[in-house]
Amino acid sequence: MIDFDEELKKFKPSMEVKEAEDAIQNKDLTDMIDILKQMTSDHQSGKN
Amino acid sequence: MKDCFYCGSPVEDTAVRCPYCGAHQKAYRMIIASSNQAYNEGLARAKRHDLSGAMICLSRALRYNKKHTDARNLLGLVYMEFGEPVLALREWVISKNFCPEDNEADRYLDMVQRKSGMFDRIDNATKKFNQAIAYCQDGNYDLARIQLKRVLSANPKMVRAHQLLALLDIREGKYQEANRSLSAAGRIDSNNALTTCYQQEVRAHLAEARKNHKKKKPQQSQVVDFTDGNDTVRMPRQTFIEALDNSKSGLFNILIGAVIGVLVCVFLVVPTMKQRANSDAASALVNANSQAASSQSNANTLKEQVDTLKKKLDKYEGQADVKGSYEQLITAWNCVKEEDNEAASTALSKVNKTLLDTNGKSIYEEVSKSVDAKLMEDKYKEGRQKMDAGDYAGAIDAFKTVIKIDDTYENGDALYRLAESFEKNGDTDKAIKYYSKVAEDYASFYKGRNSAKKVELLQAASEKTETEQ
Repeated sequence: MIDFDEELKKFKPSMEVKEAEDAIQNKDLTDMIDILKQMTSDHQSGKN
Repeated sequence: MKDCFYCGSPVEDTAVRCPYCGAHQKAYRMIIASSNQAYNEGLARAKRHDLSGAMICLSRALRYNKKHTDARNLLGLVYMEFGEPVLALREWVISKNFCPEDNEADRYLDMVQRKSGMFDRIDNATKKFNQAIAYCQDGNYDLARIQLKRVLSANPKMVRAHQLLALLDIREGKYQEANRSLSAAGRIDSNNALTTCYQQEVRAHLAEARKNHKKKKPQQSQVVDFTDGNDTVRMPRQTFIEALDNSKSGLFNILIGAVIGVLVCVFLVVPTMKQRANSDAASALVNANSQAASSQSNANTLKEQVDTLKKKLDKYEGQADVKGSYEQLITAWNCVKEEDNEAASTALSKVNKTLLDTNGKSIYEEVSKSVDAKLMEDKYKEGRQKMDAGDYAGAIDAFKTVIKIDDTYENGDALYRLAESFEKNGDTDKAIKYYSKVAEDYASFYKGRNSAKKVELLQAASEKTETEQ
């Protein structure tokens, strides 16, 4: 049995056009390669 | 040989670490492979219209490698198909930033920008969807439903709008309508978890309803919704008979309207038509009259021309042609020689003088003069004889013939005797006229002076007579 109120909470407002620019600038784009680079950098600085 | 992801130095394809910086090349290759694998899976799901699954796979591919341009562009396309154009734009803009050259995202962004009003439509639809969510949270479900229908008319692929509308239908127990919305959502995104969940709920209710009301007709909703432009109108459901029962007064009004229409037609339209017909007939009559008058005028002109021509013809009638004219002239000449003046005059009247040449004309003048001289002599003698005999009317005719040819004949005697004949015949006015002419032309002669006296006497007598009367 569906709980209407609970289901309603799943619906979040959509992003509006005026918010798109902020969303692009603030989006966390960190990927696995960034992390690998960071780890390599940390490893090299630990060596030195 | 490839470049090290960390320092950019060339490294062997199978090298575990970079010989220059020691960066873990194998880990990098594994990340790239995982990203590609996730992209491939996302692509396969997108082809099956499993948009939710594709979104998950492509997002994963981008978490491994954010610069995977194909994965990001495809994610944008999937968002667009899912009815979330703002998210699609976001992905394409990021993709273009990472890879400015030779990028398909350029084409997608151009396409969106070129379509006039597309940005506004996207923005309005998104705002209305957010408004619908707010209405739902405030408990204004009818307003939320209206907004969602507007959203779907502007952006029919918005899966979340279909789902929210289905949820509202489920809440009100409208499982058929909910099923329709979910089917629409399912056609766009075939493996959406939320859609599947709601569909299960709806199908369960529909199966139960079929079981419970197997022989009953499905109860219709008490209200009917329909869309008029951007507005959704709700009204109580009625059958046609019910509508008729409830609108007897309406039928009565329609009948009254029809009667008024007929009366307006009879009293306003028909007289106007008749008046127009009369006006047309009158103008046609005027035209016909003017045409008839014009014809009459033409006929009169033609008649005049005919008369003129007839007169001309009469003038020439009886006259001969050139040869005949000369023959008649010779005949007249011979008659003059034989002293048959009457035959000469008849032959001369048949001569067409205009057809004669110069010699012919001089002969004509000579014969004519001879005939006239003889005629005047005879008539003058006849006139005097008739005067003596007391036949003044006959004398008048004879003297008139003379003065018609020459009014100075016998030094005005013919004219004087004509006046005298008129006097004796009792025609005072004519007598005064001819005495006056003699008195004027021959004033120095006895007959002139005598004529003047005669005029005075006759005028005095005439005035006296008028006074007495």
